[in-house]
Amino acid sequence: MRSLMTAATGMQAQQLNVEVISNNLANMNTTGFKRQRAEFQDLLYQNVQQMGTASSDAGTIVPTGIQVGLGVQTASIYRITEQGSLTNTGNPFDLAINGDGYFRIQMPNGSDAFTRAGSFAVSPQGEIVTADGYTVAPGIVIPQGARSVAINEQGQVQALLDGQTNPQTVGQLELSTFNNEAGLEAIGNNLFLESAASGSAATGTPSSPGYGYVMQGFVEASNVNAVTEITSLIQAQRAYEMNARVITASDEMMSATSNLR
Amino acid sequence: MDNTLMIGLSRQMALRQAMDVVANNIANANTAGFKVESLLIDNETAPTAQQDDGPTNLQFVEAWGMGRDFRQGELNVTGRPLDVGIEGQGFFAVTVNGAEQYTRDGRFRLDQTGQLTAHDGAPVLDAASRAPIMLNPSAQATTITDNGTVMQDGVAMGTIGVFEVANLAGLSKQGNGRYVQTDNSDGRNEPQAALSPVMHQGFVEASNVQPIIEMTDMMTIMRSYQSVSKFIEQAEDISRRAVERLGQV
Repeated sequence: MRSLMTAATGMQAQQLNVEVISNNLANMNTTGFKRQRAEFQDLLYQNVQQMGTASSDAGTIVPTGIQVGLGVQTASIYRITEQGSLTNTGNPFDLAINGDGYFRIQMPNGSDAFTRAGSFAVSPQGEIVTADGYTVAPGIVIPQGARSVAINEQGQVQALLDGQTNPQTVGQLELSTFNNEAGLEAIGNNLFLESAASGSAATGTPSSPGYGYVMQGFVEASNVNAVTEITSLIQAQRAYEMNARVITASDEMMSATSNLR
Repeated sequence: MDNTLMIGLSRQMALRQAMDVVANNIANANTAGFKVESLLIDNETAPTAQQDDGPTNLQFVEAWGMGRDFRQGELNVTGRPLDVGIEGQGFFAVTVNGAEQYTRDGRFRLDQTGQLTAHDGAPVLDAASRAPIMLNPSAQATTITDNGTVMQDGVAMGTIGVFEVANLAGLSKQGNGRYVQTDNSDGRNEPQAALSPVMHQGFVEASNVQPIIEMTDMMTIMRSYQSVSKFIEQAEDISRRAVERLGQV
């Protein structure tokens, strides 16, 4: 019976759906997290009776045919990169991007990673780094003895040094954008890597056309919406149960046959 | 007596197939753009299975086709700018290996070059030119109007095509939510761009599977199958008793 395997694909798909939803819910409070969506599509079809084949010598053809579907498969798990809400923290090294773009992070192995989670800090050497201590490109050093640091919407970093009245520009932040943001490869820790699907990074200054602007003292919250996630969870659970019922019913049909005396 | 078993068997074969179809519907209850199907079952007269002592021909059960219900699925709001749901008839067209395929699944995205594609990278076709639509990935806002025109920062970049298919029964399912037109040898059934399509940005068309109907169908199929098993059993019982009684004479 195909229906057993078909229902099994349905249960697997709904299980994956629940896994994606639970990851979204688990990351509801993760800075810069972008929710994901499992997308399904029907699996292949088996032609029991091919449509369009001749059904008589007079040239009539089978009008509809019989194509029996074999279940469901996962097309993709798509990351929805819409803007998360901005939360005020007051911390001068919390930077949120309003609009398009990613901060470029220099990984310890020399490669580049990208992130929207801008809860940064200052290293012992005075450099602006991520929570893991990785340098935020292009590597801005805050001079020792800076009384305050101001970062404007254009990404200019200005430090007010002790004994001076005018702030001094110490660096310029940059943002990277991609043709297909959803194609970035997530590596955990809020970091993404460039991939063949995302296209290569285009680097520019914040607030220039096509780039978002930087907001100091804010972090970008995750864009997970608890209400939609919970309703999706309910749908997934019910769909899972219905597929389980199909398996039970198919089993009963087979047992009706095998119990023939 | 054998005919009783064979008729019962033909019914059971058809019911199993119907169960496969119901299982596929339920498995795709959450598949965007999926259209529900049902197996069309009819009686098939079998001239060879004439009963010697009865004047009528026997009727066997046979599945003769699939009915597809192309009714509108619910449009669910997602808010994503590149999700498009069609209201009414028609399909989006994509090209796969140079051939057009049709789908109701409007969850589009941009690829690394900025081309509007389906999830597997198949380009979505423009209504007029039937060519891929190139968008500007760094545009501030992408709006898709009700007739499918994609506007980016006030500039029309193309029109997402909705194509109407004359003979829906001639569509062959490919999986992946895609259909191809098989009944088009003379070009008469070539899908044509709809004149006034209506689509909605930020919506996805859900599958039109109605769980209650599918579950009721499933129960009916299961119970019919069991009752056929019962009558097969009874038919065998009759022949067994006949043999026993004949033996007593």
